[in-house]
Amino acid sequence: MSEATREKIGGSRWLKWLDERFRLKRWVVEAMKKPVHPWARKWYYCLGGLTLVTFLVLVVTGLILLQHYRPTPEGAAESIGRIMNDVWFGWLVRGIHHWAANVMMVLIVAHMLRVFLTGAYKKPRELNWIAGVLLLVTTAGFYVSGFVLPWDQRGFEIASTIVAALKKIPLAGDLLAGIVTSVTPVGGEALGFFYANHVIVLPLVILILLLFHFVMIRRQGIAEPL
Amino acid sequence: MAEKQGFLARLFRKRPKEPPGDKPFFPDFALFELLVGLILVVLLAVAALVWPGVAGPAADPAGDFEPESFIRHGLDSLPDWLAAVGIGLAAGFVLLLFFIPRLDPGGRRTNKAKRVTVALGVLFILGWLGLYAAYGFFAIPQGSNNTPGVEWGLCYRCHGHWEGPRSPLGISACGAVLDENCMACHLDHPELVNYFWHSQERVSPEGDEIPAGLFPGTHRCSDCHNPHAPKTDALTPGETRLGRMRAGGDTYVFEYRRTPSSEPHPSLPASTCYRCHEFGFQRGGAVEVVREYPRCGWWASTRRWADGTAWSATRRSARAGPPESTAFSPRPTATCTASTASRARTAWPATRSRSLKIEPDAWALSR
Repeated sequence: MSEATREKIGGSRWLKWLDERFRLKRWVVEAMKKPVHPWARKWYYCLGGLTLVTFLVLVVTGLILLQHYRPTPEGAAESIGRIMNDVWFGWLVRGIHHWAANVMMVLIVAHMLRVFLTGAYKKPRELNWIAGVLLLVTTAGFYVSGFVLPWDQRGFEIASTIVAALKKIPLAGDLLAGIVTSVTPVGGEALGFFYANHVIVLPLVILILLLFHFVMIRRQGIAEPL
Repeated sequence: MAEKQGFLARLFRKRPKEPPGDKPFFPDFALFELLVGLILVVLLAVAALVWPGVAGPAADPAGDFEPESFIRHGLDSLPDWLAAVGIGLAAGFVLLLFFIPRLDPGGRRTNKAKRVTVALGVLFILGWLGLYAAYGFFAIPQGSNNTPGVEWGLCYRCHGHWEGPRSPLGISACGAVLDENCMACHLDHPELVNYFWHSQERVSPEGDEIPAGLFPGTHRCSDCHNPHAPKTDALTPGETRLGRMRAGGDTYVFEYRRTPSSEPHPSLPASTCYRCHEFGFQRGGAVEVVREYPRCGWWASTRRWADGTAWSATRRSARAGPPESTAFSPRPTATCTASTASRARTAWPATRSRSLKIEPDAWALSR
């Protein structure tokens, strides 16, 4: 980008209007000019960014699906059928949501492998590694709860499997299973649990973790290769 | 020409590489990430176009439970303590991830770090393999169809063809095989497995279809044969249900199952079978039935296909009286010999897919 273009953008009266109110210009300019080292321009350093892209795709498509989904055992499968058949491009939105979820899981694991194999978790980035592991766990929570939400036979069986697995845990098994569902076998309570986590609890958690993750990356920079 | 050479030389000359240096986040790096991200979004859209997500019908909690994956089936199959250990190991692996910076301190990757990497990788692989091994050990019913010497490498020949829940290795989770997998190879000996007698949909005088269904309905090949045994020892007395029937006699209760995993038919004592059949009936086909019920020989000669044609030329010619040379004639022999079995094999019709029309009087006899 040429200097003239930069000056033109910088001199925009809209940006001046914004800066008069938010005082963000200095921070934004600093963030945009932050140098990226040559080693960070390799393809395997893009995996984290691509994970964020899939997350944003999931947020957008998820918000669209949320408009038409009914989180009840009686209405869930029927509403999914309506999304697939009646909603304008609903099938495409749901298909993209489905694929983005799968790709995000693959990318997040690949990103963690890259961080692990390049030793990027070392001092002073330990906390960011822990945040990354928490992001992995949160994403897995999204992934599993997302499969349950259609409440078709597969979703029901996944919920049953989770409850059965929790019950196998010694001492705390029944308590943990009771958090998911208060009845046996799995009923509508389990669907409510997974729905609430998928659209409220886990999004809040992942937003906080992502904010922490990116702020730390900004502050500490990308780790040098070994 | 000189100019052209100069042009080509300029075009293909090796430009000196710019020394790698820092570049600003925007626009260089940000636009590159944006481009890759857009390509990813396009790929997602294409994937959704080609393979849109499927939507199944609403769940039926009271319906037949079909395990979605081997995990659920494993949870049901494994002993509680082993399932708890497996869950604990999985949770422990995730917990271990949190402590990696603590396990591998220091400024750069050291030999210790490499050992941690190797240990984690080995732990992960061994954990999964151990889970599969434990699942395989406990999921397959012990003592029924497990025989040492099984050709493990050939599991997928039968199990891989079943469109049902299966482990990631491609082996069906229920350890069951559709009967077609057996019959696909053994149809050239239908009389040996009484396939004809028991699997045809017979037509009653009223025109109703009578499901006989030895193999598709009530019995499986593995009731008598051991599919996991070596090829030369597929019939394993003592190991199979047939062996236990022989050992238990009337006291053995034959568990009829309509499908491998659900809807068990009310159990019947084995004596209900050998009212008609001797033990070992699968060797001689219907020979033993005829011996117990002599009139069946005549009855057999009156059987026709649904289109009115007789079974075979041999039996058509023998319709006037009981044939002497077929396996369906009343024979006073006491035991099933190799020769009778051989005759049964040769006399059996080759066509197996047509419905059998039973004459009214014959139907009354059969009842």
